[in-house]
Amino acid sequence: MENLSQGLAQGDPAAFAALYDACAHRVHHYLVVRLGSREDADDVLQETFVRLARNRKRLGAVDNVAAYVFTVARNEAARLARRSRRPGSRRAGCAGRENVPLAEDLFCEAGDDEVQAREAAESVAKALAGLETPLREIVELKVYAGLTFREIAEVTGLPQGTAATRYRAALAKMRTWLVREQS
Amino acid sequence: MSMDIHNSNDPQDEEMERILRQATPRGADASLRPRGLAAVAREVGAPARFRWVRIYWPAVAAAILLGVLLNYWVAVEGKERLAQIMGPPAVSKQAADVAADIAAITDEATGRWAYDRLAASRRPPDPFRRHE
Repeated sequence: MENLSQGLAQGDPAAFAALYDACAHRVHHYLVVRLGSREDADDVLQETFVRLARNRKRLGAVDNVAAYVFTVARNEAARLARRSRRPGSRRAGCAGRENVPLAEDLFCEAGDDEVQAREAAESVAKALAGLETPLREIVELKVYAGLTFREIAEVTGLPQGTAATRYRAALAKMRTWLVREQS
Repeated sequence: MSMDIHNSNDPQDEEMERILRQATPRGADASLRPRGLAAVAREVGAPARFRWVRIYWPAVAAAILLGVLLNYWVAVEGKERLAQIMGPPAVSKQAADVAADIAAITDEATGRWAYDRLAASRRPPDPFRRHE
């Protein structure tokens, strides 16, 4: 990993390709759920890597490159959301979370022929939409980005214990919502 | 990935996680990887940002200094030109009172002389006199 960091800091294209292959899939999953749009996730993922390349000198001193990539992606997603909230923005309401994202914008299974899979995806989308932003973000990072609580703490700046507590609170809240929905 | 001490072993949490993981976020477009890596290559190959500032800062500093000096020259020149057009500024009432007091103590000629000297001290210098 140290070799990768050094390669990135020197602007080695092979190192960036390796980082892309290692992280981009998970980062994209996180961004789709966070922004509620695949097109926005595509843009933000690309912008994340461009920003990493621009500030590549810093990467030499980073301990956990994956967590750093997620930190940059999170900042870029927030930047996009801020831009979208500006009046007259072309993307207003798209990435700003003013509208609840549709299940088919988030999950592959929402377009499935199988009714059960489609309904499950729709329920998950609604349960996620019902969470407050701080809780939802921890779920996005843990479940869809596959980060550990240690990495989530690094990305969000929260203490590990707080991240874990919020995660369990979010799961409990979604469980209650799903049980109520099913009954 | 490191061990996570905060992971819960609650079966209800595990079941909820399983439900969440059954929903797969939509994947990236196939063209995104080459596009993204091409953008990275462009960024790596691009000259460092603000390099022009490092190159041109002496010229920028000289232009600012020249601007300040020209502004000062225009202000001074403008004041002199205004004085030539409008004539000398009026003699203050205090100077006239002083000249009147001198005239009362001495005589009218001395008072007139004092008045002229006080008025002359307020007159701007004549630019043509410098060359005489």
